[in-house]
Amino acid sequence: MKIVGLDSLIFGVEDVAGSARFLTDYGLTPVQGTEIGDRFEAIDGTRW
Amino acid sequence: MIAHESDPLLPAPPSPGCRLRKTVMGVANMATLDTIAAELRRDRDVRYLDDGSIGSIDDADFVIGFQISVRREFVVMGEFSNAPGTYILRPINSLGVLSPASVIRPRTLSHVAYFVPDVLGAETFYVNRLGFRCTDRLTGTGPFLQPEPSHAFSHRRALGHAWAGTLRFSLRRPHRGDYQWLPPYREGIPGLLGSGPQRTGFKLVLVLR
Repeated sequence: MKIVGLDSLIFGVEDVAGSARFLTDYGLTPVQGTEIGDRFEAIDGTRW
Repeated sequence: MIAHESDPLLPAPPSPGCRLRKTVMGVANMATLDTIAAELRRDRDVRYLDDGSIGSIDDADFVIGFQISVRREFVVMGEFSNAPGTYILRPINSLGVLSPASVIRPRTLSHVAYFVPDVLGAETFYVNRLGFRCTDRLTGTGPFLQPEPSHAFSHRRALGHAWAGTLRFSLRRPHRGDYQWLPPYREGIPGLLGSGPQRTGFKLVLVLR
């Protein structure tokens, strides 16, 4: 099997705005929201 | 991806209070997706989702997914040290450290750690069913597992219930200044800095509560 590695992690959080600020401060890039929630990307497109 | 914990579209947690709801792994091609689906369907439900991925659960009830990988190729230079005795790699008058005003961007999601009630069982599932290999083993805790052929790791430790403990993004360089400039660090959010037990690479580890 050719599993490349982790692509994304999905979290359920209490404070969405605070979590988004933390991830942005950490250096991840916020991208458009999905049906479930917001996502934040590293340079290569892998996501939190 | 984050969403409010009450969002009905989120997958169920493996145990109450665990914030990690799903781990999605990238694969090289559709043939691999079909191979994984066929393997997992031997003893559990596997669903093909509208976004083209497949979803199932592992032996610790963590929700897992697989998709054609979203990873993009990129080229961003690493650190040049110009240590005595080495080739001169950094040109004269080029900065060896980043400006404090620089935006530090994680390069890739590289590692996630799970706490699980049955470490051996979890290792067996990922090795025997999904083709991971054990690259390292922390005494009294658990194995580091790596899918071929990438450098991405997952790590499993014993705990009474399924839980996500830490995750790591790989950064640019082993320079502590980078770390000190990160806003979460300045605000007192704890983290660990270093290469980790693999002794290669450079990672900032965030410890989840």
